[in-house]
Amino acid sequence: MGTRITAPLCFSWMVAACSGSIGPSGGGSGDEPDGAPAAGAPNPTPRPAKPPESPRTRPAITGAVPGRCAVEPGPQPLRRLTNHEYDSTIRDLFGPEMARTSAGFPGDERHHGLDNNAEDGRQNVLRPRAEAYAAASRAIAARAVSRLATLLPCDVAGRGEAACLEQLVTGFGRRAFRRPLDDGERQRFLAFARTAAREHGFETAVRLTVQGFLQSPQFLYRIEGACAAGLGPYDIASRLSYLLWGTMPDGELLAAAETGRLATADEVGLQARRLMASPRAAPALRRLYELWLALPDFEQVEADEKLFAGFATARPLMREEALRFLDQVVATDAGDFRQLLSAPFTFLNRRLAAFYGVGGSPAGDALEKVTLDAGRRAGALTLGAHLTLRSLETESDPIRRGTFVREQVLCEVLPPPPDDVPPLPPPRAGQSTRQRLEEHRRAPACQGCHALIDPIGLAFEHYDAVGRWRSTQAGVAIDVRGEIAAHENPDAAGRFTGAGELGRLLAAAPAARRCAATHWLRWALGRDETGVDACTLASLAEVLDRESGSVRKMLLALVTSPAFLARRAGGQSP
Amino acid sequence: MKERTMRSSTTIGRRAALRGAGGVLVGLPFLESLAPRAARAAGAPKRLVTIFMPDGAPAGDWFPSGGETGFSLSTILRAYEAVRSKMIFLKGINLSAGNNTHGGNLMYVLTGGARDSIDQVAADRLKAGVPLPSLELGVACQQGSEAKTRISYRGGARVPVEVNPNEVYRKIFQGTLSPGAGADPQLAARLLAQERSVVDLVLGELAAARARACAADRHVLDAHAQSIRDIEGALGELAKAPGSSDFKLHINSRQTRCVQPPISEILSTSPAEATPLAAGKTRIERGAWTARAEHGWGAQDRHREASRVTR
Repeated sequence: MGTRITAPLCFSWMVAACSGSIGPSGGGSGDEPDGAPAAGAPNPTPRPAKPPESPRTRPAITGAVPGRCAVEPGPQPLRRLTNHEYDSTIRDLFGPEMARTSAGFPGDERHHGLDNNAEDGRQNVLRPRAEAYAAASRAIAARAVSRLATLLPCDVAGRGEAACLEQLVTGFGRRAFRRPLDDGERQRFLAFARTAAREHGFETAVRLTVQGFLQSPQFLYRIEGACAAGLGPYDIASRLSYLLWGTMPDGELLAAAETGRLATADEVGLQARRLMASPRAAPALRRLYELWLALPDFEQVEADEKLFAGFATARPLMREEALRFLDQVVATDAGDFRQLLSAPFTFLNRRLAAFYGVGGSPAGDALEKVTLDAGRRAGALTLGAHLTLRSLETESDPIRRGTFVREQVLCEVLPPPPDDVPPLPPPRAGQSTRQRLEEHRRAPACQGCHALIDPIGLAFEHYDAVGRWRSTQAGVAIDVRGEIAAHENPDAAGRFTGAGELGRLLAAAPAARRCAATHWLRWALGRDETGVDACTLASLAEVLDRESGSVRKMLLALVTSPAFLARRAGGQSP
Repeated sequence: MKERTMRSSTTIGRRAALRGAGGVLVGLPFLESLAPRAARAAGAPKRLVTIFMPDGAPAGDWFPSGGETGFSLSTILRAYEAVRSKMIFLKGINLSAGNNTHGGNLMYVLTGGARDSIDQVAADRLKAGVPLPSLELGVACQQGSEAKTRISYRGGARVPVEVNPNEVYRKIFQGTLSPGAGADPQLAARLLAQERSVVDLVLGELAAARARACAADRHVLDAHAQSIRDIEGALGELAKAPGSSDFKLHINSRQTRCVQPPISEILSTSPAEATPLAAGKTRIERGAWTARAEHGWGAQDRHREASRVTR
């Protein structure tokens, strides 16, 4: 029996995706002031960890004046390295053969699709994770000590064990903590290493010391200076490096912090340009959009083997297609975020083109850029992987496809479905999904939400449950006329015919630019946006508009903004 | 954040009843019967097992018929006939408190809105003498998912579940805590001592970090330190009784994917002495299987269908 995972939830809310009432702010707390808050405006309440889902605190960013934003940074929760960041940090600390060392860790929770949200206890280290850290650090340290000369290039015979242990603590420690150790840390680690050497010998002492570093909060978390202080140069180095490279700062960035060359926005911008010019930037920038699409879940998707012959062999190609596409539209110099929603091209080889049933087939086995019918294509929204992820086992799912546009392209909040949802009637022969959804919408309890969701999702009905092109569905001709009904972003509203027009409507919508900026702010800071971010978000959206959708230019504006470079004195609580 | 409370209602819908009551089976009396006879005679330790099954079961095949006592078990639960007199069925609990109701209310099933769920509270009270305060098992729960369907919480954070039977086995009977030393007790003791010294170092670093941290961040470091202290306690237990058990965990790995397994099999139907509970490794177990279920739109109602075949 083939079943599949489609949504990043443990079970689908779709059967109940239906609501009788739609509030004006859709579940937001609605208590944010309009526009950018004046200095001294009340800070948002801190968010303690708690089981219930917190309602989104939505910034009112319409009407904010772009340009220079007030130096009022938002709250900054303590961030832990994500599993992904842990892997790349370990790799940089020890070498490329130390790959995927987080394989046994519990998964990072996703919030708005992203895996680095540090609010509401999402990153709390409970015992299973603490044990996994212990086990990983044991394995990593043992491997590292087996090549001691690489880990600790120190002439033990000549300089003595004590001097070499000191070199380990100050040298390796500086890289593990991404800053020099303070006096207390240095003394504690040295005392530990010396005792261990006395009791268990030099090599074991090195191993245990490395284990200690890898389990220390200074390594596992991004602790940014003392509470009372603002951000220091090393904190900024780490912020830059984890955002633009997805890993720890390199030697040059640490040296820039050490010599005071990260003190001004211009100097930070200079380093940011250097990082973005490196080939290491592309996978890190792409990562946000991989999570946006929930691409990591794609490997688990299964499709009905009888209905979708060839899916299993097409799957790795479909994933590769998505990665190539994302590289092209967000990670290159010429990357243009609007293409994410409207590009007519994708990356295909002969086999994949045949699987999808699209014309203009490339001849070879290598994926190549292929430009298709612009009326049918909408960038990432018509990628096979995305369409498959938002499908059911046997049929496309316009509700999930429409919900993705509302939530992930426009950053809108849809009200949760109500308590008692009438079960959907089974499909009748000769009834299309569109007809069935129309019937469903006649129920007043369902109409409110589904009038927002369904018409958008139905624009993609030419693509079946694995992204193949079809001209009829359930034997009925496919009708792809629809509209984006005004919800939270009236500026995105409009009518369209087909996926291509829908994509172009979205790419031109100011709301989609604001949403793109919002994703990057959430990603860069590990938290949801709040009212104090209104001005920053408006500025970033304006950069996207002015700079032809350039993600890199927007990132440069983000990393040189007060939101990124400053921290609220005293931490996140007022 | 609106205050959410648990309210009860006498007139509730079928779905609410399924979510509220059908999803949780309180299995304490049931498990007593699984304990070795000798242990029972000596007064078995207190244990708790909670099981969560999303979307409930077909109500007609789940709830017993008859009165409060002397009822007849339904199709699904017929396998529990031997312990029928010890079973209690709850009906009519409404956990939806206004806001997000579908799925969101699962957070309240074992917390009632508190920061810790009852299994974790019980684990803290009953953990003395066992290396694992609690054991969280999942079947087909996606790692890294937006885990709205978790029922176990500690300090407000969702307790992760282990989905890999091999990992479960390793954790229980080989231990992720100790590096392991084969049959040499002296070496085992030395490795354990090394491990404990690292734990002490890490606890010191956590305390130092806490002193510098902002008030709002302290709860994160506190939760971490508590986890490390739990490990420290478990290492202490290991030091008292090193070595591993000859336990065999009877989990059919084929069943951990796609097909909803008879979860009672995972938790108990292997020989009684061979369950982690009976082997004295833990006193709290939580099982869940989620994901993969699709119902309603276009797909068959496989999930509920599967619950009919639970043996």
